[in-house]
Amino acid sequence: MNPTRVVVADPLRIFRTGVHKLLVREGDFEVVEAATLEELAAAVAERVPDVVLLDLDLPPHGGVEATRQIAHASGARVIVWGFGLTRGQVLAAARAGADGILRKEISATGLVRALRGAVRGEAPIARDLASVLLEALHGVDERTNAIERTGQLSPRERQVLGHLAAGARNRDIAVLLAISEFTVKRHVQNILHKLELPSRRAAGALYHKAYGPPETAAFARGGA
Amino acid sequence: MSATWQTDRQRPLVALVWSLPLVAAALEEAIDFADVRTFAADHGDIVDLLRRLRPDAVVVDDAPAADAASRYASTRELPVLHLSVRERVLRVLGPAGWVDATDGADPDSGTVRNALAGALFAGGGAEA
Repeated sequence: MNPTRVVVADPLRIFRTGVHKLLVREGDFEVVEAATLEELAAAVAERVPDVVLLDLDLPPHGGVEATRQIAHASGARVIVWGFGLTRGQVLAAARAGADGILRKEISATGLVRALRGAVRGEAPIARDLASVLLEALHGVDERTNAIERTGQLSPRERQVLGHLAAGARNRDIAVLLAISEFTVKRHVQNILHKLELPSRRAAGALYHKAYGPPETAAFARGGA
Repeated sequence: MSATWQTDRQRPLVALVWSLPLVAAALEEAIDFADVRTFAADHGDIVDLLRRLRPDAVVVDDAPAADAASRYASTRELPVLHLSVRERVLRVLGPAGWVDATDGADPDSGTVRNALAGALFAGGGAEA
């Protein structure tokens, strides 16, 4: 069986050498060390690794940028790891193309298992970080769902919905859109009916989910 | 040269108090001239642990453990080494306090091994 080729890209020598020794002792890994993105790129070009274990602080531009370059330029599975990862770092690494995200507090056994799993196509992720990815995914789903629902409105109704979300009253919307207050009322009724929502407030909340804060906030109740 | 460990032991006993298992594994392997006992830093009172174990030297990889070990060592002639992985610094506790033993170099397990050997066998680590 061919050994698994791993590049350990880490600015900290104790991690590079520690992981190197650990994996070589396992007997089924070949390891190359890299301390910078430049060294990593050279190692990837020369060795065509199966897995790249990549530190989030890899110089000069950090592990997210390195992941973006390496994940797209090679067929290697890229596992990002770091100390005290934040939600933002986890999501950025995932978006950059990381196939796994681990904490550097991982045990030796855990790391070996994660690397072997990565070769088999698994996505090794620290247990407490998996929830970050799921929450982000749920957020995307909610937004997509909200956008789809508002998609059934006419352009004019979406316009009215935006003003509703900004807190505008019917009278304000009528002035802003140069239509009668009665017409605005009809639009609002249609919006609530089509979206199957009970109130203007619920309609506003759906708009926020879909598009974030409305740009028409200046027309909100307080300013009218 | 003078050895500083307890004379009833054939080899010095080193307490390795860790927060990073991979670093601990590397150090445990590198410190080949001593009996090494490893302990997770977040499991209980480190001073009490050291009091019971009576090690000849302590190596730690996080700041709270370094503080605890220095409190324990304050009344004993005991080498304490603090490898601050993220800052890439190896500090050795001497009579005048903590001293940087890395001289700007990125420390690895060999750096710790050598500093520990110096502190144990020649009492040199603390004056580095």
